[in-house]
Amino acid sequence: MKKVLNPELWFFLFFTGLLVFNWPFLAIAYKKAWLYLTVLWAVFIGGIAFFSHLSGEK
Amino acid sequence: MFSSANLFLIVFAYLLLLFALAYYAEKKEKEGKSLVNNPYIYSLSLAVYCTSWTFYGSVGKAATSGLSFITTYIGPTLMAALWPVVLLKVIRLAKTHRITTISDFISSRYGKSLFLSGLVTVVAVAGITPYLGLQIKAIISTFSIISGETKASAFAGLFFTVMLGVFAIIFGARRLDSSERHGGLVFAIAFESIIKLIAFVLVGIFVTYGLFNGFGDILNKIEETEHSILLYLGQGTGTDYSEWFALTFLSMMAIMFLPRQFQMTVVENFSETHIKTASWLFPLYLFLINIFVMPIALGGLLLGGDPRGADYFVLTIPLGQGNKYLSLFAFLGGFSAATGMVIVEALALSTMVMNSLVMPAVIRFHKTKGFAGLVLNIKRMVIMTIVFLGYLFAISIGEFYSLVDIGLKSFEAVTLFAPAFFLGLYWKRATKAGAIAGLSAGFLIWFYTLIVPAMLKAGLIKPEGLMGKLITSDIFNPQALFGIEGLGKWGHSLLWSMLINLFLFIGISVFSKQSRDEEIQALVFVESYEKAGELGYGGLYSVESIENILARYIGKDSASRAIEEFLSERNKKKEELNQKELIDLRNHAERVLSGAIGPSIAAIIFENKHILTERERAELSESIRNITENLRLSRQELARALDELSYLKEFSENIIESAPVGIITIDNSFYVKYWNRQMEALTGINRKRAINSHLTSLIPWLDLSTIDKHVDSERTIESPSHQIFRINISPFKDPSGGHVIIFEDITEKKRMEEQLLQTSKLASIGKLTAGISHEIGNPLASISSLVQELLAEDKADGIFIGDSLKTINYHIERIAKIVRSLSDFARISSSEKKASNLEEILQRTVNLVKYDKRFKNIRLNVDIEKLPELFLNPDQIQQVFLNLFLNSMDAMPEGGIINISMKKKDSSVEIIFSDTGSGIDEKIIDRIFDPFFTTKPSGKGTGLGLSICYGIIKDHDGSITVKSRKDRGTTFIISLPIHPVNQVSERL
Repeated sequence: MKKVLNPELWFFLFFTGLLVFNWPFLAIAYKKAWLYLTVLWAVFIGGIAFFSHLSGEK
Repeated sequence: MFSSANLFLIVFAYLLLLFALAYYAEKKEKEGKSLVNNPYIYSLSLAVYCTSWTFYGSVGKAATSGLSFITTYIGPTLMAALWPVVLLKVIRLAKTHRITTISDFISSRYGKSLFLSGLVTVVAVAGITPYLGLQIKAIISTFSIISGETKASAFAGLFFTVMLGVFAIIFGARRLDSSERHGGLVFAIAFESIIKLIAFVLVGIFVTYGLFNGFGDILNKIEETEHSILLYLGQGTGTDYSEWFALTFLSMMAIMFLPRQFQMTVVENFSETHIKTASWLFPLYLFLINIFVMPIALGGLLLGGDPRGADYFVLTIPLGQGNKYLSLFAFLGGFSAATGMVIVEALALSTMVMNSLVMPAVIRFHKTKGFAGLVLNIKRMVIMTIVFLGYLFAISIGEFYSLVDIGLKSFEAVTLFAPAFFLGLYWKRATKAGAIAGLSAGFLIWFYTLIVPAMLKAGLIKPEGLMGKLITSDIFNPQALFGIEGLGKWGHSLLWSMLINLFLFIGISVFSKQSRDEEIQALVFVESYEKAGELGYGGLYSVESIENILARYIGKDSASRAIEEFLSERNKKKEELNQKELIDLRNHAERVLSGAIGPSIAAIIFENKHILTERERAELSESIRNITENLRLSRQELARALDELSYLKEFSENIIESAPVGIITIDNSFYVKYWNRQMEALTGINRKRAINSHLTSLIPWLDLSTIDKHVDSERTIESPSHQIFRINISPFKDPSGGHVIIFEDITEKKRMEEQLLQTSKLASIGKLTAGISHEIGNPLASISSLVQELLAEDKADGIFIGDSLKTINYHIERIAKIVRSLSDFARISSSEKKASNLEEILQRTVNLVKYDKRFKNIRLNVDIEKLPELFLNPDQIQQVFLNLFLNSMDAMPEGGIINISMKKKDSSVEIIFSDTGSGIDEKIIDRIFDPFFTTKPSGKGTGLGLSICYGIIKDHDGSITVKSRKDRGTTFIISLPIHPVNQVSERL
């Protein structure tokens, strides 16, 4: 049985996502916003999947 | 184009397929081979979130406002990252208490308040029914686009509405217990999710790669048009950042609080482990279904499509390109998106309406006979009513609004639940009054800032009279409350509704008191929900009475099944249940009833009035109150005590760790339990190694056999590396015993003391020199004259020479004796103590001072008893005697008497040293042992003599006191302990 992931790490992931999906990161991307959002979205989903894989069964 | 009849048949066939799939899934479930018990079906069923808004509206939004449509899906993606923590807790609570709706969940948290449950239901119904209507509108509109017939479309819309209602009834309201999972429904929704995803992606591929040469081609071409702004974000584009954040936040809340999402994520959850997969698979679904939104929207615009008709580009592009089968598949995809939402939302809303609004009335006015059938029929009617309300909205005012606009209004409505929901999960003090106040105020602001402008736009209300004044005022303008503008419609409403909601919720919670029920529920939800079953009510129940109550509402068979289920879980028979288990059974029955009619009503029914007598209820009530109060108090006390203990622990550790002495604790077997930082420095052994090691292995030179004998006393030991430690041993005040040992490194102190003693000796020699020089001078003068006589040979004869040489020899020996005494005294003394004779030490001292010329006029009386040998340092004691002699000689420049007596007194020797000198003034007698205190003229004394005497005597465990009278002399009384021989040898 794998070790359960620390709940705080999920909150860390959540707030990181909230940050990078908003200003000022979007403003930096500006003309590449569509590309930025697409790539970031995929990476974020990958992050959740990775954390889920680490978390295992309780 | 397809004819209406053909299209109708195709859609009908599709609906029949859904019925068949749902039926098959239920059949499999009954056989114990559940198709929905897997994380992939669960994740797909959550995609009921993607309605016709996603399928059609996202493209419309992208074609008019650019990238902002993505916020609706980024919000749920972000929230999914919290599901393994937050959703897990919600699911556990819901399953434990058989909670089936968001309204029941919130009301349960706040003492199962019926009013709060009703309020949540009203907000949800008001906010979501129009959204549900928009789905039906989408079905009608797309049917019309594909068939090209408007009249037939309206009929088809009505027909399909009925069909959807029937589907919801068959697969969602066949049984009374809403908490039971609906496997068929979930399977059908998962299937629809696959259809809509495939349909949308196929249209996307067709547009992107069939009509254009991929993403790059579309992006390059759109860059050359006026629509290029759609690719950017920020000021001057379709979406600014404040609105972006507001929309993201709204969709984050929507994925948690939309009734259909609560139904699928919480009620239909088969296993907690599925959350893990859903937390990434569901966002992945959202990602995939949105990847072609921009290409379709931009492709439609490049093909000359009107942005106002962009909502249906998904259909019109393939249709316009003559690909009618793809457009038919796209229509089925959109139909799946709309029907899935209508079915699940109607089911969820009907359960909310039943539990919160209908059941209280039914319970109040209806006798329990035939209750189950009545309730089921009412629920079916409520489902049909909700679906028809949606239909009415679709055909009446639905045409005025876009899919996205109505969808976001419903998102804003359910976002109002967020403070009561989230704070209720983690903040125990949140009260029902706060939740009601916050939600009510938030709802009013939602209505005023979003619905009133919409009604004005639709002409349902006129900007006249009071309304006219309000909307034109600076403060009450519904689209710029208090004059705040520039946030966008959604951001503006969200800001004010959340701000007021939170302010009232927190403010009133802080100042209002929780009822007993609220306290219990708060505890259950915030802290101990896993042990909820133990917080039941006590009382004199019987299995029969509980079963009877249950049977009245859910039918005899279901009641028996529920009781049997409980008994089989515990492997017991009815008559074997004890009082505690009866209470558990009663709680189990309440939860079963909650699943059927909602927790608020179940709580009322089980409020003991149907089972207990008035007296029993009163006793029960008092008992619960006491338990709750005690629990609360003891928790507070425990928390306080814990705080104090933590503080004391930290405080003590700080002291112990910063102490300049080594501190260790050992248990009764001499194993080290604590080893402070200074101890690490003194021994070079780190704490990690020391803890739980035997003391002998760490400090082998410490004799453990004597520890008990030296408890509460000090002793001095020397390590093999010549470090000198003063150690203090105290018993450890712990029931298990042990000791605290303090190590003080006094090596440096000892060295300083020795240096001081040596300095003192040299000072004494200096003092003696003046007197002794005379004593040496006299024999030298005699020797000198005799030698001169001998040189005058003429006067010399044999007899004279012989006598002279004898005299010279006598004086030389005398000088040699004086010099030897001085050199003996001046040598560096040893710090060792040994068995010594006091009389001999006194004699040696007298031999030293007797040559001092001042001693010539002093009479010395010595009275010494026979004394045992004492364990002392003879050099140090001689220094004491010498200092006393020198002081006496200073006090008697004209001569006098010195009396010295030594006597054994009990277990010590008393030495009395008195003179008849000038004495000491009473005013200063208390200070004579102070270092550097002297009454002698400057340069004549150091002020250290008596101070050193005091230190030496103390070091020998003795005492020294003084008595004196001015001009009558001074007496020093010294007491030195006589140690038994064995103790002496130990100290050696």
